[in-house]
Order: sequence, then structure tokens, then C-alpha cells
Amino acid sequence: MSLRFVTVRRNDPDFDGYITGDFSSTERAIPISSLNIKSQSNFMTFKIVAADEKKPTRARIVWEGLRPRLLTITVTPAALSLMIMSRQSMPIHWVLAITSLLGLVFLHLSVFLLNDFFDYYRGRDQVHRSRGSRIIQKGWATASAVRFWGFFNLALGVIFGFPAFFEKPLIVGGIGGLAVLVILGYSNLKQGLRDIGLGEILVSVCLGPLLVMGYGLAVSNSVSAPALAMGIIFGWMSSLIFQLKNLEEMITTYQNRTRTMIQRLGFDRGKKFIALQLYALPIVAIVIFQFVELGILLSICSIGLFFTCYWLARRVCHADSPMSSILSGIADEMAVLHLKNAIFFSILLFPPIA
Amino acid sequence: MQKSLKDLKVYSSSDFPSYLPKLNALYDDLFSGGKGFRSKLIQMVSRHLSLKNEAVYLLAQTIEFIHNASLLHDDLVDRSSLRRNKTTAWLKYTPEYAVLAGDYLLARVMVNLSEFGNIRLIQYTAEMISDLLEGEWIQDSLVGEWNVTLEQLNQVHNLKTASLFKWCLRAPFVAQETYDEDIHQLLDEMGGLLGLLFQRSDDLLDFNVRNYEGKAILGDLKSGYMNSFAAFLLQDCEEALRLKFKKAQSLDEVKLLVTPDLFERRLQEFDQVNQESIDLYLHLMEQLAQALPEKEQGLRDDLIKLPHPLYWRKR
Repeated sequence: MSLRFVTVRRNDPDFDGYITGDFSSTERAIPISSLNIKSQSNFMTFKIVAADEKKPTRARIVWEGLRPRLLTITVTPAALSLMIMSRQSMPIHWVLAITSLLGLVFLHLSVFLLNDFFDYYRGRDQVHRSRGSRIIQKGWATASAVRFWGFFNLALGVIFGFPAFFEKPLIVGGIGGLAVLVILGYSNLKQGLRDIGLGEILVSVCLGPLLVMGYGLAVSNSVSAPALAMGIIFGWMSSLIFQLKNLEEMITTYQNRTRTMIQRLGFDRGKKFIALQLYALPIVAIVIFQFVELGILLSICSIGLFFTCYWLARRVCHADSPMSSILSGIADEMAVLHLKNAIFFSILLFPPIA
Repeated sequence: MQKSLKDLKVYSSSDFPSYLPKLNALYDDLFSGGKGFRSKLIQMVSRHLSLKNEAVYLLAQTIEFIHNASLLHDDLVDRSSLRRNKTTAWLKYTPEYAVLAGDYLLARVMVNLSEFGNIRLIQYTAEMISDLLEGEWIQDSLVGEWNVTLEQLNQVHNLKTASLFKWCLRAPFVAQETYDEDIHQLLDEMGGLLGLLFQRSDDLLDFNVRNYEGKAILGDLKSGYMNSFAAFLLQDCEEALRLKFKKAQSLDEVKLLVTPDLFERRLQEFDQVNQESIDLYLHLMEQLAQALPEKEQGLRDDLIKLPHPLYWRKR
């Protein structure tokens, strides 16, 4: 059967139907990936395929779309700080703790799904071809389905966040508002914070100390110093995931003139900067844990970081170019390291009693 | 007097200083024997536009100068000993002369284009040279990389090979001062596809597939470079197999390593992927035909003939 292509201009009334996948219930429009990324095109070309062509199981699509592995970057700091606060016998409002944690999970899923949708909708996925779940680009799900589930998760996130908001409107509203501002600044503004090279620092702050502070204040009215210290370490690890991804994708971001921090530093200095952080991370972890309660226990948890960070740093140092196979999949490995440490910390801090 | 385009010869020794005999001798060797495919493409496109012969000649010369400059540098970087069945310039005339001769060609390009006076053409040409060099640089960094993916190679080939094809399609329009955004975007996509098809077909020759010209085989593999078909062939293969693959000395050895069945199956899949690119090219060409004015419609009939022989060769 010969292939069918359709080219639609962005200002064409049919464009939305093709881009969201709502133009047909039996066919799917897969956008043709372009290597010409220097300018945004006035039109898009789609390959039309049967809706059920080469589609995996629904479970696999949901798994790929939600990318649960990355949940660790938001859930870990909150869950571990809950365990630490419990061990410190701090007063905890358990209903708020659980609803807020669930709210966080749904908000995380929503951000990732909506990010997938908007990257695709605005053509940013043409630039970063390895980013995101790619379920729309593979034709596994329509863009409108991804948008729907994104907003559905957002609604759930808001619903589960309500109890904490009603209990502590100022704290939750303040920190939530700050987070929204940061996300908008990161991704939506014309000269977004991501594009001026501050994205990596923001990730580190938002997915670390800020998250722990907000969660702690919401569920216990106070901030636990060991939890904050642990938040700093996990936020830093999250930031390293993004830095490594930016190092891997440096050629594409250069061509697209996106200014990440790594792009600004250049490949050689960028990889040294990342390697230095990888060497420093476990040392800093052990040092700062010495100054807080439960420090010895947390320091023991950090020992596992040493070896993997050292191994990753060596690989980064030996890479000759962003396309080097040594770097291939290194950001994913950092995410796995984040997850493994989350599990390891959880086991050592369990049961969460003093 | 208007230059005739019949038997267009992009290189004439009178274009270069007569007091540099070695340079002229080097260019005599370099420019003889090439097929001049890119300059023919320029002529094919220009034929349908209202360009003077001088302009077409300039464009044809420009693309051949840039292409040959890249060959001079490429052969030195790759330490190749043969080009068009002749000893490469860096071996015959020293590496220093090869570098200087390549640089000189690029400089002549800029001088000639400046005389023509279209600043957008100069800018576009400079961007193309810059893309070409970026591609060369990245490709060189991939020597010895055995886990490279087709996606990564597409990026390299888009810079290194396709940039010249895009230029061939677009430069005549720029020279004619047609700056319609849609036309240029479509030509850019189509040129990119032609470049990828050309490169992939060339990469297949390395595995003796449709190698009707009898080119030397496994050259890329032996020089440590994983080309697009090798990357496609080894996708999902284990590290151990890749290690054995890079040491293969003959095509039989390659086929035995991956099994002849898998080799054939992957070849069919590779052809299918590229046939899809041909179909896409033809679709984009129809879009282009809608954007072109009536008097330039003849371009469609010429462009339609390009991708099939470019990829499938004599089939």
C-alpha cells in the first residue's frame, strides 16, 4: 500500500484536527520529523497511517506516556522528608501528608503529559527528538488524548492539593504560586529562563529545598533540617539529570540557538562542570548531613552515591563529543541513580519512627 | 559576451594565478574525472528560472569549488590515498598544499559571489559552508564510535551532505531574488531528503549493494567509521557483536557475523525506509508545484526524476 502524506499550513482551519489527531477515528496523522531546525516552518507534513497500526498494548502506552520512573524527582524529596519528620517525632497531619503527596504525583504526571503535548503542538519536539515520551510522535496516542489526560491529572492534582490549601492557604498558595511562576518562566516566556541558561539551577532549587520546605510547612507547620539537607542533595541530582541531557543534546540545542547553561559553558567546560558536580555530590552530602539530626544515618545512605557518581563522572570526562557513545543514555542512568538512592534511603529510614 | 552553458566547465586554469603552477596542476587533477552532479543540478533548476547564463555559471562553479574544497580537506582528514582512481592531492602535493588549495577555492567562492553582489546569496553560501564543516567535524569525532545511531548520523549527513543539495535547489531562487518563505522551506526539505538518499545509497556501496561502478568496499568500516547502513544493520545488536563487526575484513565475514538472513532483512527494511523518503520527497514536490508560478512549473517535471535514480541507482 502506498504511503499517504498530507501537508497542512499552520493557519489552515484543518490544522488543529491533524495536530490533535481528531481529524479521523480510523486514521492517525504522524508529523514528519524535519532535520531543518533553524527556522520554524509555516506548515507541517503528516504521514497518515491506520489508527491501530503497530500499536502496543494499552498498558505499555500508559507506562511510556506517564514515565513513572521520573516520578522519583518529585515524589522522593517529599516522601523522604515525611519519613524523616516522622522519625524526628514532629507533629504530622497525616491526612494532609497523604493527600498532598498524591496531589504531587498527579501534578507531576500532568506537567509531563502537558509538556509532551505542548512541545509537540508548538513543534519543539522537532528540535529535541529524543525528549519526552514520544507516544504522540509514534502514533500510539492522539495529541488530544495526551492533552486530556494531562488536564485530568492536573485536576486531580488540584483536588488532592485542596485540603492542604484550605488548611494553610498562605504557605501552600505562596509556594505553589512561586512554582507556577518558575515553570512559566522556564518554558513559556519568549526568553524563558531555560533559554538564558538558568533552567538547571531552577530545577535544583524547585525539585529540592523548595519542594521539601513547602511540603514540610504544609503537613507539619515546620521545616525539618535533615529533610532540607536531603532535599538539597536530591534536587541537585535532579538538576544533574537535566544537565546530562543537555550535554547529550548539545548539537541540537546549538543549532536551535537554545541557551542552556551547558551550552553557554561549551562542551569541554560543560563536561568538566558536570564531572566536578558528580565528584562533589557525595562529599557535600556527607558533609552537610553531619550538621543535622539523623546525620549519621543519612551519611550511610550517601555512601552508595560515591561509586556510581564516580563512574558517571569518569564517563563524562572521557567523552570526545556530544555524540560520543560514552554519553549515550547517561541522563537516563542518572535518573536511575536518583531512583535507586530514593529506594535505598527509604529502606534505611523505614520504619519512619524515632 | 554571454557565457554559454553548453559543455559547462566549471574549472578553467585562467581562473587562478598563472604564477602558481603547482596550484593549477593540483586543480587540473582535482577537477578532472568528477561527475559534476551538483553543478548539473544547479543547471537543471536554473533552466526554469529567469537567470542569466553568467549567474548559472557562477552558481555551478560555486558548488563545484565548495564540493572539491571539501574533498581536498576530507581526503587529508581521512588519510585517503585515492580519489577518483587517482592519488589524492595531499599525497601527491603535500598536505600543506592540499589545505591551502582547499582554502583558496573557498576564498575564490566568496570573491566571485561578492562580485555578483547578492548579499543574501553570500550569506546563505557562507552558512552552507559552515554547516558542511560542522558536519565534517562531527563525523570525524565519530570515528571509532560503534554505538552510533541512524538518528545521529542523519544529523551529521544533514549538515555534511544535504547542505550542498539544499543549496543547489535554493541558490538559483536566491540568485533570482525569489525569497518566498514557503518555496524555500519546501526546497530545504526536499534538498535535505536528496542529500540523505544520496548519502545512504553511497553508504550501501560500502557493503557492495547496487555497486554497479565497482567502488571499493568496506572502506568506511576499515577506517573505523560506522556508516548509516552499518548503524541500521547493527541496531539492537549486542556490544560483543559490534566489537567483532568492527574487526571484519570481508563482506562475507560481515554477513556471517550478523547472519545472511538478518543482513538481507535489514537491507529490505533500509530500502523501505528510504523509499518512504522518496515518497515524501514526491509529496513535497507537489506542494512546491502549487507554490511555484506558472512559468516555473517545468521544474516539477525535472525534480520528479531525481530521487529514484539517486537512491536506487541503475535499477
